[in-house]
Amino acid sequence: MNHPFFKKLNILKRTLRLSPTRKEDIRAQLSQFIDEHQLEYVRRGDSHRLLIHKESKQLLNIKNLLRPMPIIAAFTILATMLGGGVSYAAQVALPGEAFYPVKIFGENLATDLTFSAKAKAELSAQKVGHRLEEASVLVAQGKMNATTSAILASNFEKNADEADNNIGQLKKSGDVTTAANVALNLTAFLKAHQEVIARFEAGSSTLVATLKELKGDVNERFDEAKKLSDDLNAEVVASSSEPVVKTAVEGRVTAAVNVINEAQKFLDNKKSDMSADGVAEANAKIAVAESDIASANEKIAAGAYADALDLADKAFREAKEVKILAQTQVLLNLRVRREDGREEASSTENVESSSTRSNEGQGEIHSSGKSTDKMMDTATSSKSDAADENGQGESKNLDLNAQGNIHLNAEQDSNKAPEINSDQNGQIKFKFEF
Amino acid sequence: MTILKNDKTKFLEAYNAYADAIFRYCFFRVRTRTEAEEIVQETFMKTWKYMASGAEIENIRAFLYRVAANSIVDSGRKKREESLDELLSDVHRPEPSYEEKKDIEDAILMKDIRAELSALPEEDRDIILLRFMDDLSPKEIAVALEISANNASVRLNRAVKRLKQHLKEKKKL
Repeated sequence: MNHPFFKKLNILKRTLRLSPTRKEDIRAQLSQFIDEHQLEYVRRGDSHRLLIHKESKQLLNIKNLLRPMPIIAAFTILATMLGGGVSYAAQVALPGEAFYPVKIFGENLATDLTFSAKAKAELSAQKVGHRLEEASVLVAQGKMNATTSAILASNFEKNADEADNNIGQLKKSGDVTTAANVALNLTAFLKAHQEVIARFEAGSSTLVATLKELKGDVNERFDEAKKLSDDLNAEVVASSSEPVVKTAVEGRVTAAVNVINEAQKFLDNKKSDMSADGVAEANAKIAVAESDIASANEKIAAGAYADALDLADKAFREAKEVKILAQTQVLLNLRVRREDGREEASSTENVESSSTRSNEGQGEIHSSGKSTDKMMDTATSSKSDAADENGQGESKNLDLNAQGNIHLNAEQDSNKAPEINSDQNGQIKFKFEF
Repeated sequence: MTILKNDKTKFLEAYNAYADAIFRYCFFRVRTRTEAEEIVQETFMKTWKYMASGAEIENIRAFLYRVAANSIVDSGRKKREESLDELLSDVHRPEPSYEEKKDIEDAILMKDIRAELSALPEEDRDIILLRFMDDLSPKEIAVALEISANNASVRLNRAVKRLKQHLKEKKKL
């Protein structure tokens, strides 16, 4: 190419570069950075001694929980297991535990290594969901106190800020429909956990003060996210041709139907761990969501796409709330049963038992030993939230067994447990009456 | 160049080989030389962190461009992102401190190149620079832009056609 334009490009190729001094400066800093960010692991027999990233300067001995692998690979697996329900990722480490900063590091790394705006936004919304799930697990394990609540609130705020930014970037990139879908998912998490927090508070006066900061943050974030979601929906309807809008709205309806099916499946599998009233109320809410879907479809047929979107979103949030409330009730009921000591034997086996998870070819995390606990047999399914948004269905196992592991490995401080009352069957009397 | 995880020596070799190219890539897209230098550093650090997680990178050069592109986007987000249109315009570009005659010559060349590129759609400018300034193959461009190899080839062909057309028309004037 002999044109002067290309000649200029060629000249610049040779001349435009870092100054030698600056290049060397950066190299020196990079070299130091590399030295500070080397990761190693040492394996000794049955006990896996993991040398954590030097930044955190912690030594952990995680026995029979993780296969021997470089710790950062474990983080990557954990981070990529985000999605759907009270997940393994939410439970493996909790605020206040030694492993928690390492888990957060892994999550942040996963976000850094995600390069598409869509994936970044979806991941960050899921992280918000996981912070809220951690709150439920903390309460279930009697570990929600001023310290853990403060850690949780701080991380929640950071993740919520990140989600807002990433949704904004997605919108700026021109993909308003996906931005709207992610915003909806975020509002669904927040709304459901508003209800969870309200019920925790209703069941325990101790928790009112402890959860005050988190509750305020969640309420504020829900209002902001709802407004954003509504604005994005309006933009979806206004900015495209009718066929495009119709497709987007139908996709939203499909996503809502998937979440309804998810919630129903969870109820069908876990009703033995819930109160009869709880199941009845959940089924009633699902019926409302299904009715909203029927109305949404009518609106689509009539060309009233904005109304259809509102109804589909309402159904989505309702179904998500059903599932999250049900999961939380199951969590709390499991803890009550263990405090009774009735399932102590099988719970002990859980420490040794494996929870084999296949995570899209990235490897497995499992421990040695056999699983005999009945909870493995009753593991439920939950879809990834990203899949929900796309209206596609694919199930992963909700690993209740992991709850047993964490519960027994973590230090128990029943003196700090919020009040939990249960009836003769181990069902919580007041905390989670729907 | 394939770099195995945790291979510090090879990684620094890659730095020596590609730092200037990444710098050029960044300098065309950000406001100041300092910002471009910061993004170069950030790019290599992020890439190292990725490798330290256990990943192997088959084509480090293309990967570096991808990371740099995302870092540029993040940088713009923090500073109220401007479009490439505004960056191409000299109105918003602060005057650099010219320490060497070479810097002045480079600045003039960049201005000329930007002026030609401003006639093209935004997506064309990026791909033209990646191909002719940075010498990336269509496959590498695909990695850098996170598109398919086929898409990269198609877009590149179109961009080159449009550029040639523009240069031809300009010559006539």
